[in-house]
Amino acid sequence: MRNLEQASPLVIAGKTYHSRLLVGTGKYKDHEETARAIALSGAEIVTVAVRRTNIGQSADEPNLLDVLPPEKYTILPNTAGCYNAKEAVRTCKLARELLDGHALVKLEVLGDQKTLYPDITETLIAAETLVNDGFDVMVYTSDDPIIAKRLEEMGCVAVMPLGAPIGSGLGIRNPYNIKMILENAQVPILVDAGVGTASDASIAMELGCDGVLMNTAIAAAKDPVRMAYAMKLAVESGREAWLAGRMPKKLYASASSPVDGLI
Amino acid sequence: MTQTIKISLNGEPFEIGPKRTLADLVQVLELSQERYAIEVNLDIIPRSLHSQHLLEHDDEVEIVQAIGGG
Repeated sequence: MRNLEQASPLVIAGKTYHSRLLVGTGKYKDHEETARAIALSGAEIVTVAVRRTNIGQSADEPNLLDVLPPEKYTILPNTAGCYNAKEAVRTCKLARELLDGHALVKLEVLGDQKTLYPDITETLIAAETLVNDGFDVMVYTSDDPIIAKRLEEMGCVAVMPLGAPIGSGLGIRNPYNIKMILENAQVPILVDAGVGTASDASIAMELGCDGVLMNTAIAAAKDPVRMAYAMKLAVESGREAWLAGRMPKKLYASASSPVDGLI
Repeated sequence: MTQTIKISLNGEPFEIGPKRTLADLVQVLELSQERYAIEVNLDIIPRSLHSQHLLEHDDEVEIVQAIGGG
């Protein structure tokens, strides 16, 4: 069974990954909890935010990248908090300098603070600019199959539709749209945002998604370290179920035991 | 020539001088061990140029780093 999994690793921008769970690093109690949760999640790609350095604070305050060394993890800087294409592109350029020329970014251009829904118009503008500038763009978007395809055609290396609003934990609200996106896709499709618990992650993988990106579902659990492990198992079991191919659904029963030879 | 110049650093007023390259600023801020990126007046100044980039009066300097986020 492991051979099946290994026969189809996740490839993003030419790099192969064995874990299909991508995790964020926000909302944890401290760096130690972040590091422990991420280690147990098995994730190889971790997202970070880019923010102003706190001037005047203790210089020996540990840096997140000391806890999550880029030699060990693929660091995926995001553009969270950007509400237009210009801010998002600026943030990506700073991230590239910060990470010594690393080109992989998670583009998210948000529409408003209440829904954190993606602003698609600005996302398309930013994606085009970034792709032309040589970035490998993993793009957060709505679950609109037409937009997902357009982002792929523009050259994004992965398209990441939301399952539900960021941080809502509502699960995959429109599995049929995710299925439509998957049917037409030539690049990895990852559900980004909306996962609340392990079964949500499994559902995403059972639909055929190439991976799941989450932050709050782990960080806001009562025991984030244990939930990180639960998510690792959920993504793996959902993937195996997808590869196995589920039985067809039927309205009526079908006996599991032979009907012949009854006494 | 004045000994110090006034710049904006991450949105706050800041004085630096008489040494005023970006590398000097990084040293004053004790950031040299950190991973950071610097932008001056919206242009990213690559790390390799920090020791020769002279700051000017009213420059708007942004120094960023990676923090936790999803």
